[in-house]
Amino acid sequence: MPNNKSENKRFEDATKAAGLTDDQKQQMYQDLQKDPDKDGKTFKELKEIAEEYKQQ
Amino acid sequence: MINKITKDLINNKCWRIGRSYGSMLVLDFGNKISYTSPRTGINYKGEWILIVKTANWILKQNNIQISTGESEKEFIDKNITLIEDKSLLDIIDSTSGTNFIFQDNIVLEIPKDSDMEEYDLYRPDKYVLTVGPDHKILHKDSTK
Repeated sequence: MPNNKSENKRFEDATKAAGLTDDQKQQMYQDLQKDPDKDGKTFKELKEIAEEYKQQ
Repeated sequence: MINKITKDLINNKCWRIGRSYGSMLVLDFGNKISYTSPRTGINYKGEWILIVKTANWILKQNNIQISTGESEKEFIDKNITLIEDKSLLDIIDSTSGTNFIFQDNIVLEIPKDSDMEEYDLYRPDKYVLTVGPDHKILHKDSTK
């Protein structure tokens, strides 16, 4: 059984930890749609991605 | 309040829908706007963007459940395309959640969630409507 709820929460926690604005978060949501390796990313990996948007 | 903030979105077509991380959905409406991403380069987004964050969402057609936010990801990817190129006809908000009504009797139900934000709606004027947890409403500048 998938546990999508905990994954959705993991994403939110990672973007909050990186301190993204709403606009930066929105771009990250958009871009992950096209990432074929997005599924199964850990909190650490998501936070590292979020930090790329923070530095934009 | 939600109806007032969202009224200009009605009758726009959803020209793209996709699954982001987990079972979060991104729906683009209105004119296409180019932007430069640190990861994907030049890209396009809608002037209105609905991001469904809760996993409680339910997609129905003719009142029959097609997919939910707890379905297998491959199943979600296959079935959410039902919304693509469909016009948004109405948004019905109540204390138990928000329903987005599309043509062809398609409904995206976003129920109230006590654990997570339910959805964000990015507007063309750089404001974002954030709904949830518990269906609380926040309307703020999206650049901050």
